[in-house]
Amino acid sequence: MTTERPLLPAGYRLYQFDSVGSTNDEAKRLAHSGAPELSVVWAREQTQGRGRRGRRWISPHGNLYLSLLLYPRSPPAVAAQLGFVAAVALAESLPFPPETEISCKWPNDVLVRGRKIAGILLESETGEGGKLAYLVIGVGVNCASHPRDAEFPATSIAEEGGASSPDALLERFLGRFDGLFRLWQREGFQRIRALWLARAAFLGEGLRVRLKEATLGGRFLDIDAEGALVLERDGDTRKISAGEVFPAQARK
Amino acid sequence: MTIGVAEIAEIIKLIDASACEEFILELPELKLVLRRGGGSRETAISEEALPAPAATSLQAAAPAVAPRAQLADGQFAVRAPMVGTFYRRPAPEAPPFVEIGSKVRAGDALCLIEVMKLFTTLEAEREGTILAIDAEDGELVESGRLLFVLEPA
Repeated sequence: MTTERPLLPAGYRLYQFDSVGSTNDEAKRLAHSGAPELSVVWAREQTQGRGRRGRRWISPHGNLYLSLLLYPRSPPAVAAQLGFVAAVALAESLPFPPETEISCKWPNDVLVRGRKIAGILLESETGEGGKLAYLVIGVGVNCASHPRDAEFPATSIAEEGGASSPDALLERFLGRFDGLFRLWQREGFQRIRALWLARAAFLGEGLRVRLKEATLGGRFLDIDAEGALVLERDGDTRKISAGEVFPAQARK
Repeated sequence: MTIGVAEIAEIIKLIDASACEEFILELPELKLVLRRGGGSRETAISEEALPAPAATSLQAAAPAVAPRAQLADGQFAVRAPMVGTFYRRPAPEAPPFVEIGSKVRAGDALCLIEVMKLFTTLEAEREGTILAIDAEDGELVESGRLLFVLEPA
């Protein structure tokens, strides 16, 4: 059992819970009560964990659930790049030997040996003049356990043979996030994009992108300077800003 | 018979809930045309012509996707602050945040817009009644796209 408080980078403030409904909801509450930037909500379990479009994120003890509160001054489409910042930070902080295949699936899932180990969900509200009132970056990492029946195959740190302490991962992740966040603030998206592309899952391969009404097929060519997925089909390219990505052919 | 914005909102609600493809109401001081486009469930009202309460003329046959320049006096629009996917519901099986005719208060959620897995909740900036919902659930919207027309409370 770990009772020591984790060491966080300077300026970060930790709100630690044994159990919450959802760390993103707690972080939003903090935003509404005027909590400072870099407030971090960390819970041992979530009873109402959420993924994309209200989907359930099963959140038992043993895994990492955290939400980071930021107040970006950039427009929403630019602030969305912070999802890539978080995904790269997480990929770089997972406790695996360097040769392990750790990849990023557009826009911000993290895969280990092709299976999903973490999900990131960004939530915000509009404030004055269409700017964001706040941005919450929710991160869920399968440390000790993972769902067995997920649509996209899942895995966990334990399953992949890594040290699965959420406490240690929280420290490493926030340390890495802080560095990349400052880089993004200083220099914009370009270097984050390069780091992300170096780990991109399915780059150059066939993809299916599921939108609400239809599924598009094509080759995953690139992400553009803003982070949109560039899909090529019959010589035409199309940019996609929202959707769910699957390989064109299911692979083992 | 006089028809104000509240009555029109009520009519739109009734027609929207019905199986009608087209609805035309002609009165001496007003012509109201509601039409579903291509199987979509959108209801079209032209902003230019929506009357202020107790005003008297309405030309309402503009297709729902027509660019719209201005609102009638007192009405206000909620527009997309960014490009992204527009969602009327918090989750696919959940009820919509608002319907035509819904009364909202400042801070009430109207919709979500997703861009690269950032889900932004758009809130009403002030109190009002939803007169029109201009985008389809799941539609890709451009920045500045008209989403809702509201009448102040």
